[in-house]
Amino acid sequence: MDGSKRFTGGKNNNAYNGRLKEILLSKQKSEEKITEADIANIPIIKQADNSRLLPKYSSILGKSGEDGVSMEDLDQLQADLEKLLTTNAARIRHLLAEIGELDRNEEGHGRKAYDKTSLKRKRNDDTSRKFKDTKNGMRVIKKQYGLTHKFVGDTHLQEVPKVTLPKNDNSDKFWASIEPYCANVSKDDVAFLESLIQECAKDINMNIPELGEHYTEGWSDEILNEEQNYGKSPSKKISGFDMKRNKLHAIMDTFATPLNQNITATIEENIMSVLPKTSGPNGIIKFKACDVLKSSNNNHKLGACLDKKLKKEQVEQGILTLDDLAKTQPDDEILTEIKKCQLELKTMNKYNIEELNKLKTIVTDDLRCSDVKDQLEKVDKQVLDLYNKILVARKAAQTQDGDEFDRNVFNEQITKEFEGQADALLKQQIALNNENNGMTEMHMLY
Amino acid sequence: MPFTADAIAAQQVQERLKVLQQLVHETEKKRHQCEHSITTLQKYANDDKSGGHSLQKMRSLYKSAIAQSEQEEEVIRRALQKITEIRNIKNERRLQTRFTSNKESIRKGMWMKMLSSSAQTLPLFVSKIGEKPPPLCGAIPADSNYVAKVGDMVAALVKTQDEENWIVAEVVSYNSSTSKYEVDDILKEQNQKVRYTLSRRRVIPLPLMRANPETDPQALFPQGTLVMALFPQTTCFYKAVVNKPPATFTDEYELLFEDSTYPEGYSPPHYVVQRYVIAFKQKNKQAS
Repeated sequence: MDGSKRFTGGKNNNAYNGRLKEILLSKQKSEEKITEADIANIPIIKQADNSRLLPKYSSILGKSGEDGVSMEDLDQLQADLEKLLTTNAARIRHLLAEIGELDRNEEGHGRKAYDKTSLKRKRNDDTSRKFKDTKNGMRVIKKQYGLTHKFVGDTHLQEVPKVTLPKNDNSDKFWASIEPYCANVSKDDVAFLESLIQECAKDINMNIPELGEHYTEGWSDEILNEEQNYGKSPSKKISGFDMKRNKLHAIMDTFATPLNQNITATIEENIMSVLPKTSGPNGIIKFKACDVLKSSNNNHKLGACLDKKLKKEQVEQGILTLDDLAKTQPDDEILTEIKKCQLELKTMNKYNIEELNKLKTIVTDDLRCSDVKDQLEKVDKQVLDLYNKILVARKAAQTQDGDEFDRNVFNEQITKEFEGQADALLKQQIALNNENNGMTEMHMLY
Repeated sequence: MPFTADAIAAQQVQERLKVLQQLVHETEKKRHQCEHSITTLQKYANDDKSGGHSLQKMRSLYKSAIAQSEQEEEVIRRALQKITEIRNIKNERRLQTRFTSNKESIRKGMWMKMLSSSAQTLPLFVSKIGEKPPPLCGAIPADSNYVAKVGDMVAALVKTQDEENWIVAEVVSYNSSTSKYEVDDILKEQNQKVRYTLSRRRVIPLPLMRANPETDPQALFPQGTLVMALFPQTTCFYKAVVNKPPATFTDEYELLFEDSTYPEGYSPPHYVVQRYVIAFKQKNKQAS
């Protein structure tokens, strides 16, 4: 392999390489100098190092004349500029990474702080939050969210609100959409349930229309007409033996009962055995079949009619009884299917009504429950009012002028009066509470 | 006539040199601002080691440092662009005069120097954030339908003395109807025209840009890649394995050439510039 290489003088190349190494070394030095802290590590070529690291560049800077740059300077100047550019590119990437780090740190820091304090807050603000809940009729979950949001907003007021505000909005939308489903039941709901029950209780019209004529009978009429027309045309009168056999087959197929099919099958066989030997086929068929097909007008008798006739004759001659005939009626699959579906529907309807009634009782219970709650709230309010009144009265009594005796009497009077009221209220409160608890327990059970 | 063309070219070059000088001064100004913002940032970070510094302030300092750096980058890029333009004008002139005057017969040594320096002064590609290196930058191959321009350097598979070799050549013309290149062996140009007509499969364009390992390592052949590279002091490409890709923009590839005269089958490491290292191509397929 070596032999094929084309060697040429290499002095210049070596010289260039030497210079390259120098440049590289100088660069490494500069890097070593600034490796201290993370932030001190930003890649930059200081202007103070110009003459050392960027010789051509700084010599051009030094020249003030018009023709500062000559063609000979280009190579080295390019190298210097490229060094500046790569350092610059490295610096931009470094700074961007640092900013990213800063953001990430801050996020992490923010989350930690939020976790710690939010726990504390939860405990401290518990009571106040509950109060807010009842006042606004909002759910606790929502309140929690609102709180955390408030907290985040407090500490990082400068940046975070922009991000969290739309989020908060979304939660509001969500809860608004949920609201109707979580609202207390009202009398309207009861009315709605009642209307549903009424509708379900209605009898369903499940009449099945009578079975019409069998489609084969319709066909037979058609065929009859056709055949009559066919018979009229003189050219077709010499209908051959094959045709007749086909017709017999067709007639046979229309026979409903297996017994009749058997009979006709034997007839056909008889006919077939006789036919080839005789010259007047028409007459022979008539003759051969006449036992059974007495009343058949000609050999164009049709299956459906034949079927009926056969049955009739069979009954007349005592081969079959009427009961047998009824038995041989084929099962009506569609009818049974319809009946099955109707049965299913009925059971479903029954079940629905049951469930609706259950719901109705629950709803009425719930209505009573909320009624009790309302009353309880009212009583609570009255108790508070009474308490305030007592306080006011006491204060008034204390500040009132007059005899000690009078004051004492007055005090006694007032307290007795109030005690009675308070007792009554408290009793009421307890009773209502009991009722309420009982009901909620029942709900739990359900 | 050649005189005026030369004069025009010379004037164009002069104009650009002047602009270049201005750009160098401008660069210095930008660097001053840049350095200033970086020192402010470092000072601020050091003063508040206790951790009491505002993130807001830090961020704005970072942002301004980045903005300054970007301005600096822009000016430097413009300066480098001017240098490339000057080189292009020169090359253009050389191509025009190449056929009219067969003046200086250049020594081999000169050619080797030119090969090396043209590789060294090949424009450096430093990607901006998120930018992908273009084709023919470092190890990135040319598009399949790319046609090398007249005057471009290529690796060409030619028959010399009963054996086929990949040599460094310069594109003279390309016939699009026959899909064939005319190339000159750069070494033999002095002795008048060793010109080859080759199908485009036998011609591989050499990179038009160097890749910057610090920002665009994906545009370099990674360690262990089979490549074809110019063996030092020759103008022939030989099979080699990358032992170490360049680490900085001035570095060269460290290559182990296939060489059966060594017991391991590979030569000791040689250093080859980016421009003369190309993806390995099966010779047999090419020869067909």
